Amino acid sequence: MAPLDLSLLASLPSLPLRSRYLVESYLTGLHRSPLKGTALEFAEYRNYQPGDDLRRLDWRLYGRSDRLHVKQFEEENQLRVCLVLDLSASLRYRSQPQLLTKLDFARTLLGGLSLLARRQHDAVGLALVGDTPSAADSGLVDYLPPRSSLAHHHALFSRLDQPPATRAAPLVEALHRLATLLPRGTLVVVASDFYTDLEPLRGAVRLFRSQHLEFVGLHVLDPMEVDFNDDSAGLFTDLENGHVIPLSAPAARAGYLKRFRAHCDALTGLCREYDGELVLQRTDADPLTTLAAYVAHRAHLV
Amino acid sequence: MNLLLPAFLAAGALIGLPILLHLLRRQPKQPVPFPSLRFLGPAALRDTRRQRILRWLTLLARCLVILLVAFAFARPFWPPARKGADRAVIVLVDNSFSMQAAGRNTSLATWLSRQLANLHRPDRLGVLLLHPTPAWLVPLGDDLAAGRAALRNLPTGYESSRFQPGIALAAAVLANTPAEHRQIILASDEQRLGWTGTDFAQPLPPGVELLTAPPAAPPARQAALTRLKITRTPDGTLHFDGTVRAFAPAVSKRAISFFADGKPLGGSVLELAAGAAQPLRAEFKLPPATPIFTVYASLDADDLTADDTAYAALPAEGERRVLLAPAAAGSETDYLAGALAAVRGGDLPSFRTAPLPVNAPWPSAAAVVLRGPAPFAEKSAAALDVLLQSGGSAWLLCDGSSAQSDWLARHGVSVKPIHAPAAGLTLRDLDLEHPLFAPFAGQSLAPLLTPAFTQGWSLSGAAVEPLARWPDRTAAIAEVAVSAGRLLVTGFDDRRETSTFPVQAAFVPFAHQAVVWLAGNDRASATSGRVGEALTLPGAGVWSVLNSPVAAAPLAVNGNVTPAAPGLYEFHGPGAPRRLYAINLDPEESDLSPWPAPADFDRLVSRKKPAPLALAADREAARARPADESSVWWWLLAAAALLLCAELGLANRTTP
Repeated sequence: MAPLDLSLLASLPSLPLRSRYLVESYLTGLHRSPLKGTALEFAEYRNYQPGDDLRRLDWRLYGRSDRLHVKQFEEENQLRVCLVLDLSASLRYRSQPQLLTKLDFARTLLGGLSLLARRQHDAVGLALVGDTPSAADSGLVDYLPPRSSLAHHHALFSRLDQPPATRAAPLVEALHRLATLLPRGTLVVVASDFYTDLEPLRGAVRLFRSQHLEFVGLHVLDPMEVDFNDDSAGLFTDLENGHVIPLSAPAARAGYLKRFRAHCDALTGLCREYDGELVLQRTDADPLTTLAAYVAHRAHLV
Repeated sequence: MNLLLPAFLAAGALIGLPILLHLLRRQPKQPVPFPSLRFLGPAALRDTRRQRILRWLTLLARCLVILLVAFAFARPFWPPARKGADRAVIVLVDNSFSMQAAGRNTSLATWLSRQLANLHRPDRLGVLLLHPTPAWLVPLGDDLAAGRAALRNLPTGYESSRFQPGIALAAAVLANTPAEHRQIILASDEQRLGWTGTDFAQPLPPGVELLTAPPAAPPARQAALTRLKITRTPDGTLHFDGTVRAFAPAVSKRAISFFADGKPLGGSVLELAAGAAQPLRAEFKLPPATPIFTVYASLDADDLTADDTAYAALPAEGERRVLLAPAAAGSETDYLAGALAAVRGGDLPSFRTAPLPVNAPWPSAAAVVLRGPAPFAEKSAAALDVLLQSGGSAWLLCDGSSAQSDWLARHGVSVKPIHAPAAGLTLRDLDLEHPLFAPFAGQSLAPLLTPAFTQGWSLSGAAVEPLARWPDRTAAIAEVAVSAGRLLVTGFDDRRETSTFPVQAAFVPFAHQAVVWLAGNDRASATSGRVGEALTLPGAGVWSVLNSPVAAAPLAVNGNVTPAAPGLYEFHGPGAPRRLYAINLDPEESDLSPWPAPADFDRLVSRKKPAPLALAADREAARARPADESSVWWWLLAAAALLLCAELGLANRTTP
């Protein structure tokens, strides 16, 4: 894979362009595409038995060996992917103007995944998680079940392109809800900063496993959140709830990093515990690793 | 602890710099959006608060470093251990004659011994005699035995009480004495006269206490002969004129005796009322040819005997004459003669005015007043020169005549007319120390400064000692030393046409004082004085006692003497007639009543906190000590270095 030009990625005006640029960059970097021939693959020969479909006889082998053999192919498996986007206000943050906001970065990633899935004829769905007027919606601002049609893909892209602005996002409730909506075997890719309590999240991930849903978390973080190396001091304002505390970043850095890393470690452990995966994705880092992870999952399933 | 170089403490003001920088440090105000504060909650606040505390600690460390360095450079030191410098006491001994009152000195000595009983080595004790001027009997030191011995027999004298100079001297000494308790003990009868003139609003130096003796018991019987004047008529009669003042009891009869040249003349009885001055008059007829020089009168003894006798000396015949030159021709009024004749009676000395002898020597005992050109004619000028050579005195009123100017020029005095403006010339720059102006110095000088002179002559020359000046600062009145005599020259005369001075009230006392002063230069006249007051004598000679309660050997003096006891004295100078002096006491001292408001004594004690003891002395001692003995400042510097290290550590742990 060639390294991605992040500034070019950020300067692209629309999400489709950014996603396409991302996917193309990913594909041109591979020497041999792992996606070729994944639809029908030869497995083995076996002796003909009465009742077998005569179309599957290998006549050439019969001419050489005078025996009837039947070709056997591996069964084709269509992947269902559900992309989950956290729309909480905390994702609208970026510490430097040349970086994408976390939300834009997550949308770009999910858009790229959507394109990849489309190329492989996988079914892709979308769930937008945010404030909902009705508690019955369980935080699902918008939901498109996984489908593989072109029209569906366009609809997905249009929703991903212009997500509604919300303040908080009840991610756990939304995941619980999705666990009831998605069919078994669906790969659920959740792009979020996972600023939520871990115990409820544990229940949701556990539910995913029990429902045979694959869980991949894209932990989208700004470098400031990861390193907290800014020298600014002032009135720190929580983007989600608006709380304000006066503090000095250098003074609070050590304690913040300690608690933040503990949270990340616990989150990673939680995902692994239930056969899920958590991919840390900094907004100033190459997003191609995320796509590689997706493809690895795909290969694992094939 | 004291400081050797306290000025370095000013460097401590540099702590303002880190404080200012700390206060000017930017306070976070701008909002900083952040995705979530879940990891920046109370713990981050604690971190921020901890940072704030660290910053304050850093600031404190910086300030302490600056202060310690400044303090170290100020060279602090502990004063050397004073061995028992607990008390320093100065006893002021009132040796005025009021202390001779019955029982006063005895009770005071007892009281003093009680006050000093707890004084032990190395406490310090000094004894200061108050009168006539403060003088140490025993300088302040640790010789307590000498001090106690001096106080066992309190010295008595005939001075009048005046406490302020002694208290001021003792306070100044104690203020610089290293002692825990510094005390002035006033061994006195707290007499009213002694405190007169004391400014009670001006306290003693801080830390100096004042202890006064309890008021003495009032006398049972006390009267004083406060004035005595003697005159002798040509028929030989002696007239005693005096005053007796009674203080206690309310009414009493007192016998009085009169003496002439040591022989009793007679006596009388006076009925006195307390507080009232009773005139005393007596006459004694003596043969005219009987020479009498000294007299005195004595009351019968009472509680205070020192003031029961008054002395007087008779002037010799022919003394106190004023030889007055004739007034200028054409003058309608002789203002000067009138002024000299105007003084009659009272305590002021009177003069017998006589015309200036012609073709005869001028007696040196007389004061000669010269005006106009006549006294400077050939023969008169010779008589004048003889007068001055024999120590006589003269007053020359300058009128610009050539005879005067020539004679003055021969004696080193240049006379020049001075331009007078329309408003006239006035006098200025009076020498108030000179006896000529003594009557005016205590009153008002305006009468001497307002007369306008339309004619005036400036005086100059090496022998000229200006006593007053014209507006152009040339001498207007001058004393001129001529041979052995004394010459007073005024750059104006006594004519009404040339000035308004003769018709002004100041002219009479001025003329009288000029003659008194010149006559005082006469070596043969008798005079009087008071105990404790310096007496000017006409030169070197022998001062001896004729009659006094205190016997004293003849004393060689040179120009002045301060009598220490009342009595009759004579002065013999080489080649000069004897001079008699009657020395009396200050009559106010006879009033034994104490100061009416003893609470005023408390006002003299300062309420301020005393300065560090003997700071100056301790500083000197600290400077003299080897550096390793006063190593406090090194420790301070070491502490500053440690604090500096701590500050560096703290500063590194704080964020910008």
